[in-house]
Amino acid sequence: MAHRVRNTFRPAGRVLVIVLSLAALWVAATRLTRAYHDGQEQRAAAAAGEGRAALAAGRPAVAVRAFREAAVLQPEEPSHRLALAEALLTRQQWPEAERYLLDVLRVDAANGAANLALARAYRGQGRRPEAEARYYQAIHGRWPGDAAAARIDSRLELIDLLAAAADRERVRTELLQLASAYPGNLDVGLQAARTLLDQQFPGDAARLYQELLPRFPSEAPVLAGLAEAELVRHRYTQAAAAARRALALAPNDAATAARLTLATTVAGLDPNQPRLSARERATRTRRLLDLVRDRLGACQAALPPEAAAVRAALGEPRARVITSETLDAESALLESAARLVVAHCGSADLSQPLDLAFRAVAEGTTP
Amino acid sequence: MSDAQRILLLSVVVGVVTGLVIVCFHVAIELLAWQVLDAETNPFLRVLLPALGAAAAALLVRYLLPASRGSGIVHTKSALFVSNGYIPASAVPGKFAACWLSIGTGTPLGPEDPSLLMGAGIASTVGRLFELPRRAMRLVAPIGAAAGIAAAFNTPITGVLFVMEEVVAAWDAAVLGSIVLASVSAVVVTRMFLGDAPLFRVPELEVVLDPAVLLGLAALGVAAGLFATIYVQGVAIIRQRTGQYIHRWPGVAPAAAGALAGLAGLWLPEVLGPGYAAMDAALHRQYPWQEMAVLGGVKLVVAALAFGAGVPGGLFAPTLFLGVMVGGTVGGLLPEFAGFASAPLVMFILAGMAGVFAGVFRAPMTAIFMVFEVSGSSAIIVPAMITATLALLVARTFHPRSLLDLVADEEGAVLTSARQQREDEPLRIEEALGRTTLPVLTGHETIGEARDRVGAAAFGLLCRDGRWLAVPRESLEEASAAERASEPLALHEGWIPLAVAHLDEPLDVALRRLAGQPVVPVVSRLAPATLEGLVTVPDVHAAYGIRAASD
Repeated sequence: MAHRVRNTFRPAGRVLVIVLSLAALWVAATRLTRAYHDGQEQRAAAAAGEGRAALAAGRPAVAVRAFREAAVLQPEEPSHRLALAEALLTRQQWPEAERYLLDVLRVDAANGAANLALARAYRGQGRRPEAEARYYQAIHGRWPGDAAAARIDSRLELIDLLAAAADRERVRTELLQLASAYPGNLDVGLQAARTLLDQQFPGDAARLYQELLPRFPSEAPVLAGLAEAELVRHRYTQAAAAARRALALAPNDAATAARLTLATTVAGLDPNQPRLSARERATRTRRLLDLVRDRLGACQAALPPEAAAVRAALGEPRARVITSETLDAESALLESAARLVVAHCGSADLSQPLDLAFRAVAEGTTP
Repeated sequence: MSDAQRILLLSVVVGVVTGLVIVCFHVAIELLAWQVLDAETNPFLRVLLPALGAAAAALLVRYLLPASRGSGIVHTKSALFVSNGYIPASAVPGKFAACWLSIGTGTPLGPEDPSLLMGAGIASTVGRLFELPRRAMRLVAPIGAAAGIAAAFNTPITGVLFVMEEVVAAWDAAVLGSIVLASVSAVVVTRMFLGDAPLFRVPELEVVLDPAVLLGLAALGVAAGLFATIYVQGVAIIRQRTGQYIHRWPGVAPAAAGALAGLAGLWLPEVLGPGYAAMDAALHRQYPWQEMAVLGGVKLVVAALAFGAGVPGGLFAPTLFLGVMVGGTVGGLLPEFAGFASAPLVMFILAGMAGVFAGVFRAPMTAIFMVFEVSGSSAIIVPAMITATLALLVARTFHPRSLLDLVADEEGAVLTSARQQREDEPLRIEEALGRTTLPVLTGHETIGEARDRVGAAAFGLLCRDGRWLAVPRESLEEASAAERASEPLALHEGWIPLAVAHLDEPLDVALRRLAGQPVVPVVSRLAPATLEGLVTVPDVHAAYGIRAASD
């Protein structure tokens, strides 16, 4: 039988056979694996390139297929899995994207891009707490290249998530943190102030614009934003002043021009503006009393029963002599009447000076 | 250098050589698969190439390298139990070339079983080169097999367990160290060249074991067992039906199986080759459960056809593929139809893998540790235990024989396995106890008193300083006749020392001792002076049922 053939090798010869076999196999394995790894790399790079091109051309299905190939060819390369996950996110394939991202994060937990993508995957699945946690990890994660821009984008997405969940207080906190983290970044400052204004934090927005002004005194958007914030705060004089400065820098800004007109008009109507003489204040108060009486008359059907006393007082003749007592009494009557208008007469058009004036009086805004 | 030391040293050599060969094998398959992929520009070629590859591989092993025919596991077990460790050296290049051709061109089989044979062949060749003794030669093939399977899966524990469970079929301490050394050496070499990533990347594992999920795992175990039964039965039927045609028209059946696989690949390319990329994708939730069910079904058919038609290649990868798809299907179905809030899909996929593997190969320990190794998380062990155990029970109920047993039958070998060995376990001494009694002396008696206590028995037993002695009646009577009856027994030195045994030892131990003494005292391991019983030759006969048979 073949296996009973005597071994003709001496001990040293046997060792030599093994050593030579090992050497030959080692060389073969090295060459083959080199060719294999080179091929893997080239094919994966080509597939990833195809995926990026497809993604740019708006063909996410093709991109997913290409990135899948790249990920299979080079499983140890996290960038392919990350790209695949990002392509899957564009197709809203959240759970699959999540798995690939967790893969990437298992070997590189601080990967900012993977954390951001995972936050998006969780958000897409309605898993808000997990998404928030991942956004924070993205904000504090490691980013190649322009890390600041990536962190800002991550925080803005987090803010968007919080805003969508109507978590206004945390939106405010995040925006203020964002602005304070990048004080020299005009875009960030403008965006934060804009969002604060949108989220109805005009005081914070105005403060942010004012903080930007010393650094960017010739930036019209800062002044225009400040004018808008002050207008929302019923600080018409300050709004008008900011709008004027903004228009000096950008005369074609129609929105700011409209705000200037509005602020100037309201400032002309508002009896509570600073530095008014008693006569002027009385004149404005009486003018507004007439206007508010007309407005209440037009919507008397919507008024509650207790409005009758206010309407009756509005119908009474005015005192001939203006004293501080009569002026205070008329001011108090105007405030009550303005509150009724705001509450019951649909005074919501804040582009209308008169409505703004009523609202300013009703809210007792003191400039 | 002692034989044991030589074997340990050679185990490392076998592991390193096997690791290098498996690296070349794996890479060669991938490189060929790329060439085939690049050439597959039209559907005709996509059907033709797997058919040509399968036919060429089958003809190669039939006419040029017949030593590499058949299953690697059966070869290795034959080497262990039949041919004193002999596997022809030509089996290694033969298996390499044939499986490179078949798997590289898209045959839906895996490279693990061929790797196992290559490892065993390398070990056998190295063993012959170094003129290992006969017993060592018998064990050297499993050592190489473990290295091969460990290198193929990149999982050393799986390699060791599979060989111990399925090939060696026993927990042999003499060979365990060598198997571990070879496996680890092979995996280290593989990782040096191919990196330490396992076959597929298992995503972060979420293991939930609430009652609903446990029920789901039980359902998965049953499903995996049924699926494994269908698979094994399918392969058996195909091999039975195509056997005569394979011999009459060699190459035709493999070509047909390859062409069918190619056709299926036009629709579902995932089923071609080992399918690790598809398993990876399933683990990452690329497929909905419906698609996984289809992939599992199609893979079952094409893999069973290819293996049944005699295309060279292994069944490990297809079995894992089926397990992944069964697990994914059940894991996806449960939330939809059984009122589950959600099932942790990755856990179900891995548990399904363990279940189908245990059902097909009847190797539950390997199945459990394999998913543990590929997932890198011990949390998967409990789910895998549940499904593997249930799948094994179900598969054994419906089909008593494993796929490997069927293949061995097909190849004309009657080989043992861990299952059969468990059924025919060696008898223990405790099973021969209780039929013989002898008087036990305390040592404080006089010779006369001892003679009286021994009475008609041939001898009495005495324990002195922890050693058991036989005190023959004749000696006592002679001493009494010489008027020494009043002398203390303890002073006498001429009694016969007896080798003892323990209850838990194999009966073989007692039988060997009975060659030199009439009786074997069975003593307690905690207190050697405490006699548990006696064993004599008739007791051993009775334990083996020899007397009953003659009656």
